[in-house]
Amino acid sequence: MTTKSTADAAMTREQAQQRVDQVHAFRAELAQLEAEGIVLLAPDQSRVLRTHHDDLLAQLAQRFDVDRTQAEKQMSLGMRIASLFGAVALSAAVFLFFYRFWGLLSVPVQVVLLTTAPILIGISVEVAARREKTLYFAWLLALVAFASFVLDLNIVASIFNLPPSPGGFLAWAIFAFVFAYTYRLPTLLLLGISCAGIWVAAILTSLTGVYWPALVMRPENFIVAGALALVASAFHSRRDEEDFAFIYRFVGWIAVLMPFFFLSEWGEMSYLPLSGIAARRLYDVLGFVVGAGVIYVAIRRQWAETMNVGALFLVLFLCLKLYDWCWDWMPRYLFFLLIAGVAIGLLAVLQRMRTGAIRHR
Amino acid sequence: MLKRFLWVAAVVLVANAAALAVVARNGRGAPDAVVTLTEREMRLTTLGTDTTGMTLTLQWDRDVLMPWFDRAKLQSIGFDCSMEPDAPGAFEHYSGPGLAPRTTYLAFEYAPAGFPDEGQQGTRVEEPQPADRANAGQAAQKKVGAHRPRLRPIDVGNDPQALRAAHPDRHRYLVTAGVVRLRIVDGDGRGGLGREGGREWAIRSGTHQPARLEGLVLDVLPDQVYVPQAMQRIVMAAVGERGNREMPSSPLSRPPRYEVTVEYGSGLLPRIVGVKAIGSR
Repeated sequence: MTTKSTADAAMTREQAQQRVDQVHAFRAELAQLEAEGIVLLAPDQSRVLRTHHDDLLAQLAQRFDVDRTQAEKQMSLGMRIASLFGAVALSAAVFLFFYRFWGLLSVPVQVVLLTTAPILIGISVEVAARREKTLYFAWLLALVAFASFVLDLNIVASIFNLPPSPGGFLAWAIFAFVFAYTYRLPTLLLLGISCAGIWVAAILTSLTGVYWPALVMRPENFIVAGALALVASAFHSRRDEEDFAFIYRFVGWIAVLMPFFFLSEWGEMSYLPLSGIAARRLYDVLGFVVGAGVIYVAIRRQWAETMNVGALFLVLFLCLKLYDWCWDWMPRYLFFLLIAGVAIGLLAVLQRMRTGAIRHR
Repeated sequence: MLKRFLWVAAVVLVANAAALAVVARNGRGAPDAVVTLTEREMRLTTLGTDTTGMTLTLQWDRDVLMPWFDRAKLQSIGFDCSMEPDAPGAFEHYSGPGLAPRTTYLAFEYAPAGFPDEGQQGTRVEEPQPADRANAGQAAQKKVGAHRPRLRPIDVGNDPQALRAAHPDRHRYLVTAGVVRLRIVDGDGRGGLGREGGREWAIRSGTHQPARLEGLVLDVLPDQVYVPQAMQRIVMAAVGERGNREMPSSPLSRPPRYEVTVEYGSGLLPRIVGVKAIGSR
């Protein structure tokens, strides 16, 4: 196996970083095994292996600017936080700058400025991406470009007295997706999926004649949006783009599960042709079934983020239901004892599911 | 790089072009209505001190009774009113979260000199006497009543053309998109007895009033109208430095200081076409 073949041309920065971490873990484990006298490589083998890994690390560092040490990793985290703060502050500055001066400008000048700002900032993202492999500045500028596009459509609607429309969310979603897929920026993907989800829910809400900003009063629409995100996740998984599949799954499951909280409390919000009480009871049952199903699937597929979302949902849902059923009549000490008992029971069930899934594999 | 730039530019340009196309369509043909309102109905939006743009918020008389906005009307715009309002469980059904607000079209009537029935509705049209210091509190209340918006919702329907046909005077009636909701009014009131207790007491005492459904206007779309740059100075000169500090939703505490001519285009979107100070009147 050559270094060239292992550093795949289609590799992303995240995959490169994973490979670097893998090499470090391998070296540490090999050193441990050698110290314990379990494995002892011949000097030639050891040299070949070391040279191979050194070359690989150098190549990955050159191509992707990956973190090669723990200190570099911590620095990267700091840079990411600084970029996020920078993006938020710069976006606020763009917003406030425009609001400070828009009344002094004629309408055509306002429209030209608003339209060109996201395009020009978008070009600066490309310039930054070409100069810096880690993409910290590109990420920062992409967030500012997104914020300026949000400002653009809001101000244009304000100038021309347009009523609020869900179409803006579609435009923002596409804009965020362009940057996310071009530069592999997870934050922009998250923004894109969120905007697209709101758009889907808003469109479905308005089709029923309901005022679309009241979309939370029709929670089942979010289940549809979440299901679409899960389909997109499967598509990305098949293409071996696990970094993006993970984000789609994370947002998708949240969108699918969140409505159960609302529907199990206020069944009247449901589209189902049932009375409020019947819908509530149905969603009580479905909440537990779907929550357990999500955890089961997550364990079998080894989806850590889905496992966390599912487990958190199930615990919160259970607490909510216990509160509904028991709080009014049960002594408080017994109520909390019950919660503790349920948590322990859940732990035991999850343990069994985990063991079962491992055996199945 | 060119391909990426084209993608970004295309998204931005298409979104802006779509918005401008709606504006262009609204401006095509004769306007649907041209109405001259005053500060009572077009209040300066409180935007804070860090902005130079100006918008006016459309206000209507929210206290006026709307007996026409009844169960039949609610049903005609899509609310499910199949359950009798006096039936057991109706209060929970109609006041629950299942009945989300709906978008529809509203007709508003504007009466520059005030409505003839304002006295009966609790709205006082006479100007207060500032010299009457003994009744200062009452005078202040009358003053607020006197400057309530003279714009009232008078009709609702999902077909704006039918609304316009029913109210053809384009200088007196506005037709605009809006948001409405349904509410149930318990005829017996709740008092200190609770709903069921109040009903039982009302039945026993022979004062029972059946519950009824009525509509409520929540908002008009859009409710804020941008003031073009050239007209902003007139509004600012009329209201002065402190003009920005009153909440648009609170009743005007003084006589109106400017009037605004608003044109509703064929797409029922408003735009301000004229502003005039009336402080010298």
